[in-house]
Amino acid sequence: MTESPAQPQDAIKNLYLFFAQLFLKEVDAPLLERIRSGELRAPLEEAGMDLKFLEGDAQAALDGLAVEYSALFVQPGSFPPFQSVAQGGRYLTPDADQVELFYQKYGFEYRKEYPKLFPDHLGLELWFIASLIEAEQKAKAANRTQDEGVYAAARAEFLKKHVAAWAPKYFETAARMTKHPFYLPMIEFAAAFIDSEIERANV
Amino acid sequence: MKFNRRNFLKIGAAAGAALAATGKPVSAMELSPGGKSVNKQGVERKKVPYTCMTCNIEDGGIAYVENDRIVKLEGNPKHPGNRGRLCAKGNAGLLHVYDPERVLYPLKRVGKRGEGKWKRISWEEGLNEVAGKIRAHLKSGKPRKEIAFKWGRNRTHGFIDRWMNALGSPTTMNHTSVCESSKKMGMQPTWGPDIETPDFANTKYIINFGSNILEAAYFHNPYAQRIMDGVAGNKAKMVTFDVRLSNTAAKSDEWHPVFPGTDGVVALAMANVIMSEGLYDAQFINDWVNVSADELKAHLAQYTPEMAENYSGVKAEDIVRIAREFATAKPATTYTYRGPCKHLYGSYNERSAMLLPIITGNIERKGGYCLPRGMGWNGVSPSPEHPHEHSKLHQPDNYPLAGHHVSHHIAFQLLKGEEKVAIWMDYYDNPAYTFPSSHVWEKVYQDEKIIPYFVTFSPIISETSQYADIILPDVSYLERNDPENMPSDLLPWISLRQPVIKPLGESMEFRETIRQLALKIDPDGSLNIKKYFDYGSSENYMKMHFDGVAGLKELGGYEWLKKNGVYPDYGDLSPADYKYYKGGKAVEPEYGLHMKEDANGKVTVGGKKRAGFGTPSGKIEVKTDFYGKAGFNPMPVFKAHPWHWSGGKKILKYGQMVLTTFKWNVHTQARTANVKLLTEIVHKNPAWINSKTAAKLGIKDNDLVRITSGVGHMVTRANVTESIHPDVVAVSTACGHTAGGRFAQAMNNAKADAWARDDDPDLKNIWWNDKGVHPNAIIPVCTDPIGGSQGWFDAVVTVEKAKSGDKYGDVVASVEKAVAFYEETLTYNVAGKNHKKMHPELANAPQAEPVKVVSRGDYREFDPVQLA
Ligand code: SF4
Repeated sequence: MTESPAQPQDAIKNLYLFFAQLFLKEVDAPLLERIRSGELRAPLEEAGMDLKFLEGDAQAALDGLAVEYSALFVQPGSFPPFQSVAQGGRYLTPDADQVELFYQKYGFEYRKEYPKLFPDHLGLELWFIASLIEAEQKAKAANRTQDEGVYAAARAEFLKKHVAAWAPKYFETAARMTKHPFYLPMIEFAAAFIDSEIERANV
Repeated sequence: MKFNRRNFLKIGAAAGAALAATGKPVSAMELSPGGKSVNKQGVERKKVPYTCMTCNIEDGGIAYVENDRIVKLEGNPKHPGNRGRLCAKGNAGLLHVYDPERVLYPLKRVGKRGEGKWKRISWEEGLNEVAGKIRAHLKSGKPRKEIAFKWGRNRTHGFIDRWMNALGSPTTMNHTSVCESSKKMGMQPTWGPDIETPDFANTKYIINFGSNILEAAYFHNPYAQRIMDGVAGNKAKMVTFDVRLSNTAAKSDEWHPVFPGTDGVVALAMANVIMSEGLYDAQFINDWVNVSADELKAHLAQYTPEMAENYSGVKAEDIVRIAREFATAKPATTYTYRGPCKHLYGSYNERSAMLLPIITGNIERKGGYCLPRGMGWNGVSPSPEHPHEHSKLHQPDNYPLAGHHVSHHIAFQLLKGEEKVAIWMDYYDNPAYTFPSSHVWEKVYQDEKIIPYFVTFSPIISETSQYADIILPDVSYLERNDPENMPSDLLPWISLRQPVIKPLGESMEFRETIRQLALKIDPDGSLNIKKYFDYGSSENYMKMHFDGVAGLKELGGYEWLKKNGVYPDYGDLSPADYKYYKGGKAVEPEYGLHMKEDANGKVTVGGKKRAGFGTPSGKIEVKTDFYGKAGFNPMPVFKAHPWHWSGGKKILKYGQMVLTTFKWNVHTQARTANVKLLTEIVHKNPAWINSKTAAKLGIKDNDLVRITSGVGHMVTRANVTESIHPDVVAVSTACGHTAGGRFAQAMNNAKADAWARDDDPDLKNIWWNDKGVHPNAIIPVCTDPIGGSQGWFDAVVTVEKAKSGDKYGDVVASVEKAVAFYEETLTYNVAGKNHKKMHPELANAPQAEPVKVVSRGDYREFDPVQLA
């Protein structure tokens, strides 16, 4: 998968990172401010999202988001966003090893930031793709054409082997589980983005 | 919303700026130094020994682990209890670990109690909050006993006591009264230990009173093997008395369906036959029993086989025949579990059943009824003293012999305001499901005036933990440390439970959570708590337990145990006879422990002082002063339940039956419900009703029936069968969950609206819609005033065809009515108005001395002498 020079790879990378953040943890105060009054508000509203409910007391808004985050992704009865769970119904199936092997094969390590998280968390998988884009960008900037190709191919392969294998269906189910004014559109948005990425990569 | 590439790019650009501004690392993952490329092929498979804890038998296992993931569990052939075999529950154990409905992060309640709204918090926040509350309470000068800790399964071997003692609170609450406490309180005053280890493999005759030992009782996996060895290999005969044709009864040579609670009178009548026909072991009685054969004969004469037939329904001629067979089989043993003891006066029943091996001299013989063998380990120093304050929740008034406490009264005591609670800790416990009148517990947990702050260490959200204010999630048994020991074989052993993998996610071993709490409560040691928790790590704590154990120490102590799982090493297990062989010789257990020479022994036999039994006299105390001094009959007697009998006549009316519950071989009471492999096997629990009774009531198989107790009613389906006593309706436990996970609640894809997840491919395989109906809410409290046990098998219910409007699964229970039963059961305790009425034979006995209630810690510390 190679971006044409005209395509703003940074924006794609950042979108992967943005979703990685949203799935990895609860919205925190700085991110809330960027969403409700910072640079994210206008494009999100332009896309059709109603963010008025986030106005008012910040702590109340953060608590409301945290409760829904837990209900969707954390507590018993939620749908924890792990490839193993989505495909095998339990934590840490061999899929998780395959994902970690993939990370390691390209020299990436996530445990410094999330030492206790299983490798096949949706957020980590998206984060990894963002990392591959960045590595590809760096290789390109340094004229390491061969490396650039390796990272681009890795991205396509990871998208196909892992993300495409479970994330679209996961989003579908997760969207059925919530009516929350922030998480429902975000899940739908992530689903549309990942679908477009899969389509674009033709995997 | 509009999703198109333009939006993606716009939001992506904004996201980049936002992430940069919020300090989120734009460079996502780290590139390992040197861009290391790794390719793991041929993953190593490690064998790690552990001790099972799906149930309380504590069998030995081997976990096969790849990449820190458990791929298989097997029995440990070096473990003398289970000899390399795990039961179905043990085999399925790894599903506890990887269950996606497990709590992996500390959670804090948001919204109302029980509303199901949580937010994830960090351990730091969780520990600070709980430690802060406890510290504030300790500093406030309020009574320390307001800090309460309730456990259901405690295999920490003293660690919870360490914690509560260090906090200075006596309010430690267990679960044993809903288990077999009256069996224990029948046995302990009689011969010392609270349990027996029958030598089934070498016996010739087994009388089984009310235990489903091939499936569920203590120690079912080890004992099922030995019973089969005895029955198949040694041609032993097995006779089972049980209200229900359990799988054990079905595999016995004879099944006698007894009326609930009358096993005791059957045993007394058999003892009478044995004594009156001179089939007893005169020498043994003379040497080792604290009453003479003549006294016994005189006492037992009242229990004729005809009288026993009247109560039990077992034919007098069978009682006589079985008594003769038992007395002459040599060796022979009895076994009991909950059947006899879970009744009003269940302790008397247990003592009555014990008479049979005693009077026939089958005690401590090869093939007989043996004392439990045990091995110990070292305590961890320093150890805090037990607080001197007394808590009625720990030990209520007027139950002087209930050495294992009366835990099922606690919810009622709290409702009545007998004690105040400020902080409630809950560990491995689910009373809102497993206790009688479970709805009363629910009410108590919901009430923030009664329990202002509720902490649970539960790794699941159960019927109980759903009401917690904060969850500090514990690990599964495959991720934790404990020392272990159970008398599941005549070869004693100690074993190690050790983490076979690292704790999953952010779950934390309870022992470590408590250590961290303690250090936060008392950072500078000024509260005198810190020093008891300064041991570094759970692993160090285990080292302190094991490193000094004689014999083990020489082999390498804790490190040796980590590699082998169990000590001692009895040699190689032979697949031919399932015995251990060392140097070509079979390792045999030692018998006759009471006969060992002991200079400090209280009993002289054959001119030598002997070790004897753990009683004040050193003999078996068929007549016990502990009971006598507390106002109970010192001899084994039978008390007909006043709910069932009046003047020797059964008083059940048309449609009335006695409700009993039972366990399955694939389930514990509550913890296995979400283990899909087990729940697929058993998930529903129709009411077993005898076919003749059903015909009289016009009930057909699978009909919807309403079962009504004095507390409320439930609606379930009928399982019309020959396999149950005509006066009994039996409903199993382990079904009808309202919390605990998708499999526990039979949430399949057909119920996707309620439960949208469809991640587990096995959800499609939930071919059942029926999760069963849980009976505990309608079961009234009925307490044995001696041992303090709940009379699980005493409730009188009316069974009828369902009424119009009844729906399968309805459970309606009244708190007020449950409280009325509690008040009634108090009238049977030593201070209650029914105590004397139930003991007319003691009218002329000396007045019972006022009994001092001693506040005790762990039940293992129970020493009846304290009650004297
Ligand atoms: S009986 Fe089964 S569940 Fe219980 S300890 Fe043994 S193997 Fe484990």
